[in-house]
Parts: sequence; structure tokens; C-alpha cells
Amino acid sequence: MEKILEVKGLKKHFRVKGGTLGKPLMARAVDEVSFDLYKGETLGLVGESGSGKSTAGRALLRLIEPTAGAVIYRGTDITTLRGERLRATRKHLQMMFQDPYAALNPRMTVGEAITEPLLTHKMATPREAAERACQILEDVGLSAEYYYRYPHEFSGGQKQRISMARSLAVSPEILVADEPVSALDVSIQAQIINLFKDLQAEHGMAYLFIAHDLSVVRYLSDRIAVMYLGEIVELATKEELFANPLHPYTQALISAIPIPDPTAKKDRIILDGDIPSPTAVPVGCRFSTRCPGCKPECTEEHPGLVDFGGHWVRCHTCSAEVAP
Amino acid sequence: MTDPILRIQNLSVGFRDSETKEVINVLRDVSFDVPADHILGIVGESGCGKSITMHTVMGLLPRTAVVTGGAVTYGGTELLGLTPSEMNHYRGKEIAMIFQEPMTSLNPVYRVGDQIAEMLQLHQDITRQDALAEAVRKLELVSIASPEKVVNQYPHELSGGMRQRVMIAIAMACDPKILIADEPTTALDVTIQAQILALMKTLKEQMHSSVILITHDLGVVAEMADEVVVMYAGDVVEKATVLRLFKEPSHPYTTGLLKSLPMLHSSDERLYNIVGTVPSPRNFPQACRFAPRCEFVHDRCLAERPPLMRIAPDHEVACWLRVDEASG
Repeated sequence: MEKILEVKGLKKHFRVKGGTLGKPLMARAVDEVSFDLYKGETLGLVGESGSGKSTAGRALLRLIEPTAGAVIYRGTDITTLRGERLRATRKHLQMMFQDPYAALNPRMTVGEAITEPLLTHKMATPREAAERACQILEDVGLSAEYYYRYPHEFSGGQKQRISMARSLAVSPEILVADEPVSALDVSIQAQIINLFKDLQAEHGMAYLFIAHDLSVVRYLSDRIAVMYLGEIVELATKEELFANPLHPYTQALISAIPIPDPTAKKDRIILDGDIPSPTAVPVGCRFSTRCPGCKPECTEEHPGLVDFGGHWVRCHTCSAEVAP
Repeated sequence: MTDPILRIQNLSVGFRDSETKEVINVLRDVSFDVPADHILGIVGESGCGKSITMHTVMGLLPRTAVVTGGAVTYGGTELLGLTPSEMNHYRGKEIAMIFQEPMTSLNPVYRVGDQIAEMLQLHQDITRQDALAEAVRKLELVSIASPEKVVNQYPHELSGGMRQRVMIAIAMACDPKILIADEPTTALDVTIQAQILALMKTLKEQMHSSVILITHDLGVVAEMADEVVVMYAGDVVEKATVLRLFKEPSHPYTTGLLKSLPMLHSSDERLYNIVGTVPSPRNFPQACRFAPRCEFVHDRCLAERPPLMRIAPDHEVACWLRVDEASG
């Protein structure tokens, strides 16, 4: 498969209030995140609040400037681009957000919202853009009649379809979707999930699908990366990750999903405590403060992400057990 | 089965339009029982009336709401129509409630210990000093590590999961018979949700109280509830034991919800879509409120409202498709 995006050592550290003179307090929201994205695939990025998944998504599109790292789209490092070249590259990478109420400008009609990116990127004349917008509205399951309406006239699910139409207008090769279905009710969620699948089948885009809901990510993704406290702790194909989760955090995360079947057998791993603050990350393994199998070396040495035949995991214990 | 501890009968609640003064009906003849020592799950999507039902029970409805009919009976006492001071005798002491967002339910300017002590002093003859000591024990009960420290902390110093534990400690402070939990884990991460659900189950067993768990998450219901009420657009559409509901869901809305869960399907299957969206209360259909979205809709659904019909000893459903199976 063709690699279209390579993220290498992406970092985003925020300076936060507090700290002492000369030594500012830094929140290490994203630390050394690396992954590849292939043409037409869906990579799920899961993690809980504070795992850095959304920050990673934004930093890689440079909606916020990454502290370090490279984001290479088809041979070009996006992090080094400026001005016109950045804009030209960006049209291939689009983003969609969780809250469609906040993502759409309430004073722009649906038509304006969808044609704006086409005009910004000078990809169409106003007339062509309008035609394209009508076509896209139909593609996302809405009617071209909605062209002159305003966002407040629509329900949450419909607004998310409009956001989707706006992201797709410029025919991106990559869509970064940040929790696009988590604000929606179950029955509406299913409609949008199906739409994601249909549009991918039709247009062949790659998705970086960021979500906290493992069952949604599992349904949509080809591969899944699990994040914890700013790092990827495990990355594998969906089948492999669910059949054979290696990292204790992934195991706990999978076991914690409530199963909609009262007869299902549950071997739940309940973790103690909360995710530590990104301003005070543990010295060794970042999961060591909550890990049921924490060993002395885990609190001393930070484990690297190790490849076990395409199944990557960041854990001292797994490395010792699985390694040949 | 023993007598229910809480009985809701034909409860109808509407909201008065601020301009036309006309009452728009939302809840329509909602009836269900809460058995003692059980966990009752109420499931439904936004706007189904699950929270309004519980706010009615607690006497927490906004001024614009109008109870147009029905009864809420707790242990032989009719709760509707009690004066606020009479209601205070039940609220918190007999029936307590926790909410989705603990940060907005906790008072940000008081220490955690003060907020638990306040509850104790309100309902028990207890000195402030004893109440504060008791607060530490209540925090222990909800498995908070180092309760002596947390008792002197403010809500903003705690994580989401800890805050929800504090809320539970406050709610359970006076050993209520019923705990109403309105989406208690929706704002929490899944590993923290697992902690809180396990805690609620343990407490319920220790204290032999009943829990009414309001949620949109069918997974949470399947794990926690003994019995389930499914609501749609202000109607109870289905009631059953949890095993029965998931084994033989009978209302097209319930089956639709289950079929639309990504969890239960492999990626090559298409998820089921319930077409359209929930109408706003102003536009609720007169007969079956689910009819416009139902794939099995027929003439009777549009003409006549289906009552809850018993199709098995532990199963009731409000759908004309099941009328042949209904017994008296």
C-alpha cells in the first residue's frame, strides 16, 4: 500500500501557569508520536481525555504549531512550509470536529460554508463551486435545497453532514475527524458512521479517526493506535488489537467497554486512580502509576515503542515476554 | 415480587409556551414501578423525557412545567402536590439524585467535607463536628483514597471521577431508599466509568437501596440494570427485565437502537439506520409517536395510540404489531 502521510516524533508541549522562575511548567500534551497513514485506510486514534489525541490531530495539520517533529505528506514536510505552499498542501488534508454547532459559522448559509474552501483554494469559479456544493450536499445525504439555509435550522446529525460536506468539498486525500460522532444520539450516530464508510468507498480518502469510543473506532478502522498521556502505547491492525491486546492499558480499555448484552461474560480489569497530569508525567513508563503489573524497572526506565511484526507496543513487560 | 418502593402512574407533563401560554405535552401517561432493592434502567435518546420524569419525582421541574395528570407514590405517600418543605423531608433523605456533570452539581466555593456535612445536618440531629467526622467515613465508603485529605479539598482540585464519587457520597449520606442517577458516567472516560459503575453496584448491594439509572448507553444498561424502561418522545414504549429486553426486543424503536450499535456488528455489515430524527415536542404525532420513523408503520399506528400491552409476564410493549400477543 502507498504511504501518503508519515508522522515522525510529533511533539506538542504547552507552557502552563505555575512553575518557578526560569523553569516554566510545561504540559507535555503530545510526546514523540509517530505513525504512517496509507492511501484509503482508516487509522483510529483512541485514548481518554488528556491522552493528547486531539492535540496530535491538530498539531499534524498545524492548526496549532507542533513543538517538534515532522509531518511528511507525499514527500513534503508540512511543518516547514509557509504561506502559499502551506495552503496548497493543506487542501489535501482536511479536518472535521466534534461539535458541529461550533464548527459551522452561524452567519453563513450552508452553500457559503461549502463553497468557501473551494474559493479559498481557487479550485473553482463561484458558479462551479455552487454546482459542486449542490452535488456534495446530495453525496452526504442532504438535499441541494438546503443550499440557502442557515446552520441553526438543522439538527445535530444534519449539521455533522454539512461539516462533512465542507471538509469534502476540496476532495482531500486525508480527513482528520476529531470525535465526529460522540455528540450524537445512538440512532443518528449510526447514520453518520455509515456515511463515513460510504464516502470512503466512493472517494478513497484516508481517515485519521480520533475518538474515545472503542466500539466506534473498531467498526470503522483498519488499524488502531492507542494513546495514553501523550504517547502511542500500542498500534496494530484492528483484528490483532482486539484479539491480542498486549499493553495493559489497552487490555483495561477494551475490558471496560460496557457490552450491550446482559448475558455476556465479563472479565473486567478496573484500573485504580486517574490519568496523571501532563505537567508531571511519571519518570519511567507513563502508565506505571495505574498498571496492575507494574515492576521496579517500569518506574525507572521509559519504555520505547517496539515492533513485534507490525504490532507495536510500549511496555517493558510485553517486550520481555513476547520478544524471541 | 414485593410491593414497589416507587410507583409512577399515568404521569403526564407539559411545558407552557412563553408566548402563547399553551401547554405543549411532553410526557404522556408514563407508568412504571421501581421495585425495592433493584436497579431500574431508563433508556432513551435526547428529548425522550427520561430526565423530566425523574425531575418530576424529585420536585425539581422548572416553573414552566405543568403536571397535567398522574401520580407518583413513594411508600404510600403521594409526592405530587407536596409543599416544598414537605418535599424536603423526602428529597435527599429517602430519594437522592446524582447528575451527569458533577462539577455543576457541587458548590465550587465550599470544601467537599462541608457539602457532605450539610446534607447530614439537614436530615439528622447531628453536631457539625460529628457531621464532618462522618463525612470522612462517607468518602471512605465511596472508595476515595486518603479521605482525610479530600474532605478539606475544593471540587476543582478533584478529577471528574473523584467528583462523581463525592456526589455519590453526598447522595448516599442519609442512606436513601432510592438513588436516581441521571447519566452518572456520561461525562467520564471509559476506565473511570467502569470504576463508578462498579462502585454503584457495590453500594446498592451493601445498603439494599434501589437505583434508577438513566442512560442513553445500552451497554451500561445491560451491565447494571435488572429491569429496563425504554422511552421515546415522552412515551414509555417498552418495559421488560433486562434479559428479556436484550433477548427479545419488541418495539421497533428498541430493535432499531440495538441494530444501530457498532459494537454488535462487524465492519463489513452496514449499521441499521433509524430514519429521520426525534421530532420536537410541538410536532409530536397524536397516535404512535414513533410512527414517522418506523419501518413497519401501518394505518392503525397513525390513527390510534398503542397502549402498553403485556406480551409476557415480564414484558410490556406499546406497539400495534404486538397486539395479537397481548393478554388482558
